[in-house]
Amino acid sequence: MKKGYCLPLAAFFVIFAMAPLASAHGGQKHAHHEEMHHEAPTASAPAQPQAGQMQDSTATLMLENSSLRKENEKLKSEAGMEAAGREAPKAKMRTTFVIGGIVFLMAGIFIRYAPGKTGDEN
Amino acid sequence: MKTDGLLKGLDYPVPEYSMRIGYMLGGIALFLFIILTVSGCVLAWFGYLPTPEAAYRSMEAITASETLSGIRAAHAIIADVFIALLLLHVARIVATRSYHGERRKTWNVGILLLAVTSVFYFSGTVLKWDQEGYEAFSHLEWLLGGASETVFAGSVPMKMLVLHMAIAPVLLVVLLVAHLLLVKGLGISPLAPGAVEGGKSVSFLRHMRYVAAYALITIGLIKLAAAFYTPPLLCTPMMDVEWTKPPWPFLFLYPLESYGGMWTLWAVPMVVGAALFAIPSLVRSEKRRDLSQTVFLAGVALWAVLTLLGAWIPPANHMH
Repeated sequence: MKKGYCLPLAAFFVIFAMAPLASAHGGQKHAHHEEMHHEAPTASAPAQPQAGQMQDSTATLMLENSSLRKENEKLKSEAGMEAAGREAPKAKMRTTFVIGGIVFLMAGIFIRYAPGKTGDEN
Repeated sequence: MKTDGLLKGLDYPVPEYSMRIGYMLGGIALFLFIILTVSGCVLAWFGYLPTPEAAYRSMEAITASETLSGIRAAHAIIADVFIALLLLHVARIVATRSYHGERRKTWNVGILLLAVTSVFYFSGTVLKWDQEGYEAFSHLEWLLGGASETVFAGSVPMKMLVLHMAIAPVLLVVLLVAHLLLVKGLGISPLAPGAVEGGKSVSFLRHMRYVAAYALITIGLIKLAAAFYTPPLLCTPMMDVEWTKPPWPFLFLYPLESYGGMWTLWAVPMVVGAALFAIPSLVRSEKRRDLSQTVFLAGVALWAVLTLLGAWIPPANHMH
């Protein structure tokens, strides 16, 4: 293998190896996700029928189940809206960071590659 | 250098300055696109169900899955980095005024590539089929008017999947081949006017090796970021409400929609596209700063201000 490949490949594998270590934090991330998107009260959630219970299910029960599910979806949406409201400051900061970063890098590119410089400076 | 077969065709001389990072941004984006394709195929094959009833639940299952959640996070982050790299690539081309003469064709194809990329990003957002995806689709429905019923008859997620995984990729590959052939035919873009070239050259293979190295490092960093960040999946879609904002590449449209009305959603992208196509016509001289560059920088400043405004203004219901 040529020398030039070693450093980037090593860097790539080191970073890749670090990713599973970081997934300890990833566990918290999932917990947070669950909190943000499934905040609707579980009491209103329709019960999932077990295999044995399926024989007893009637059209009425299915209808009730369907309306309960709709109610649950609505509650989830409202909860999602509230959660999004709480997350809004973070989203604002994230967007500001992304746009700031892109504009900063664009300015850097313009300074570095500006016309009128010598090839070495470019 | 010993090369054979296909590699021999890539072993041609390019200017030494092409080894600078500014001349590798498009190449790095190309490598990221390959990873986007692979990760997208894995998500579609093993997790996503393209029906209105099942799409959101399948997204929930993907997010809950140990394996697929990481792939989804990486797919979403790479999509963001891909767009950011393309914007920086455009900035470098404007900085070195590389749309002169014959190279204008390459620029025009590049603008079309940017448009196809936005189709990818938009359809990817709708595919989630959460509140954000549904609202994005509602806006498209409004833009298409009566035609939307014919275009999207049946399953919307399925049609978006076809757009995301068949139509847009075919368009992108065709345009990309044209773009790369033009770059090969016309040569790597020159330094900015007035810059003195060293006259040295390197093999294009060496250039690509460095592009691959930078791409690998970028992908590694994204993989790391994916362990810390879960791309949002909001609640199940609810009709007749609007409380989400578009993702950052489209966020500049949000204040315009709020203050100017829905018509800005088709008018402004048209104006932006026309302005980008017109920029090479504004090249006037060999001066240090050119009218084309001034117009581009003013556009970037306006885009940044509108995007930040979009992030900071309160959500509004534009459609109901």
